[in-house]
Amino acid sequence: MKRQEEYKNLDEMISRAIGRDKTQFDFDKWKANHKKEIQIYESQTTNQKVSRSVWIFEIGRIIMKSRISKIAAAAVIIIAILTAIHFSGSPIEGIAWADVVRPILTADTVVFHARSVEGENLPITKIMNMGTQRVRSEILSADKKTVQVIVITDFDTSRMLTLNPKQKIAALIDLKDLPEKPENFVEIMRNMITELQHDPNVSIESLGEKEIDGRMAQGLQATEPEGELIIWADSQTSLPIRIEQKWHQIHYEFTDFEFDVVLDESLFSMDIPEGYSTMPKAMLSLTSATEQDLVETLRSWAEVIRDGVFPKDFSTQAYMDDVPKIRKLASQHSKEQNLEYGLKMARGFVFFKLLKAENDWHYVGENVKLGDANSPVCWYKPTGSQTYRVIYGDLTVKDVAPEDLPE
Amino acid sequence: MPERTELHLIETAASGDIESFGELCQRYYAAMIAVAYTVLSDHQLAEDAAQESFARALVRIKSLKERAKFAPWLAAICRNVAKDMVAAKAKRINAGDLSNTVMNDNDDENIRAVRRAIEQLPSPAKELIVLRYYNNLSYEQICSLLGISRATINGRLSRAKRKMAAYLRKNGFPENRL
Repeated sequence: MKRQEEYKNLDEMISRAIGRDKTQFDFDKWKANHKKEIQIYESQTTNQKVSRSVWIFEIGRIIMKSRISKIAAAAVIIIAILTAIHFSGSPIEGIAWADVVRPILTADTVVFHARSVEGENLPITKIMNMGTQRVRSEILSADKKTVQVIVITDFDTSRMLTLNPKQKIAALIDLKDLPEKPENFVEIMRNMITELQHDPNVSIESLGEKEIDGRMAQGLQATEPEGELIIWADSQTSLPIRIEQKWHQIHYEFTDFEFDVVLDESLFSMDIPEGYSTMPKAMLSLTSATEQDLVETLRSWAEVIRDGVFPKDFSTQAYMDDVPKIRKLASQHSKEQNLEYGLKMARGFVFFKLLKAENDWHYVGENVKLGDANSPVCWYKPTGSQTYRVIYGDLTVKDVAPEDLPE
Repeated sequence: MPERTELHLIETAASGDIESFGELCQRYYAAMIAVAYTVLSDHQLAEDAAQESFARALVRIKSLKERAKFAPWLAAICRNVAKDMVAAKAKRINAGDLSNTVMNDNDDENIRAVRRAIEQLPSPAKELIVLRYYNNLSYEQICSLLGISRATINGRLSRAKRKMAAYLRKNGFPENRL
């Protein structure tokens, strides 16, 4: 076999086949063609975090299996929805969209209900935002009479407290040291508004007027590449009445909006209430995820969710694609089992998310069967290591030199 | 005036200095064209993709937390833009088929065979070959762009060329031209 330096002829052939002279970049011309983007850039205040929503969304997906996840996902989805309605450039006859936007942009507190519309008698989540740093979510029974689970998130201190009032179980989850520090929803929302107002890929059309929840409302449908949302706003007050969203596999509906209501400070306390037992800290830690956590996540994903076959990709998107299956499975297990399983999945994803470019992650597990010792599923290079860690279908892990990696 | 460091340019661009952003664009234009070319196999489209990537990067640069990872971040944006273009224009271009789209009458059969050999490489290997040979990027630039070491690049390039050579031999390519 030839060594690399012996491929000089091939080098030359490749250069001839695809080589080009470097092209010069004309920044002045580029600026003239991208005025909208420059306008957005100049309107942003320094250090805005316009894309943090992505992180928040992913964390929501990461723990999707547990009860927490439904709240987290709902909380995030509502942000996307609330922001997407603020299109000043799309006036709809009969309703002033600036008025719809105003309370959402300026309210100190916002309360609303969220529910999945994929099945009958699914729980409803009541979400309460206090200022910009604290969110309380309560999962209610379908009749809204019983609080099943409470999740309180403090974005200032990166902590999440979950409470099960019936079983008196509490879990305090430390979100520090995750790939990115969580940001508050309101800040994300306002930043997203700036972007969406200038997004030419979003089309909006009026759905006219009809009665929604006993009130006359104007409808607006916004369609973007990954989904659509419909907003019904009160014809008289312009306040949102109902928002429906389809995003990939998730269909949610949001209702009962209240703005600037008085919310008691105690609703957002991160103290574990008296009489509650706490879950083991080690199980709840998301900050010290290891390769073994990744292995366990792969095992659970293949074994429990996908009937013994690894997913097509190791990504939050691939996980989202499995949400219908996950929901069905979750209904067959206890809350505690779901929480434990959700956190197990989360730790593997956290390990994955903490990998950097230098760790050279590759995933090739599509269609590989659990137990197949000959087929690699994924590999990465630990920081500072000269060799790669390759995980195979039987979940054994081997050290492999770069030149011996699977093709 | 001494040349400003890249990190300084990123910091000032993130602070609202658009001229710093422009200088970053100058530095990465060729690299972004190469990244996009891997996906699109069309030079003009690759230039369009590179310019669109800068537009998307501009509106997000203030949210970039790991400033030292600017280059891989920009490359990721560029790949996504190129993929979006493939999806949007799927009926008009046959992206990913470098062997067909870049042909011209003056190409000899060996050159065409080499293009086909590049085309059959897995995406990461194909991207590396294009980065190295399309605009003749330096190892240092490729290291920065992909966030991997020179040794890793060497290893991957070597394996990519071995695969190409194997493909060419199998398809009757003259051994003395390898």
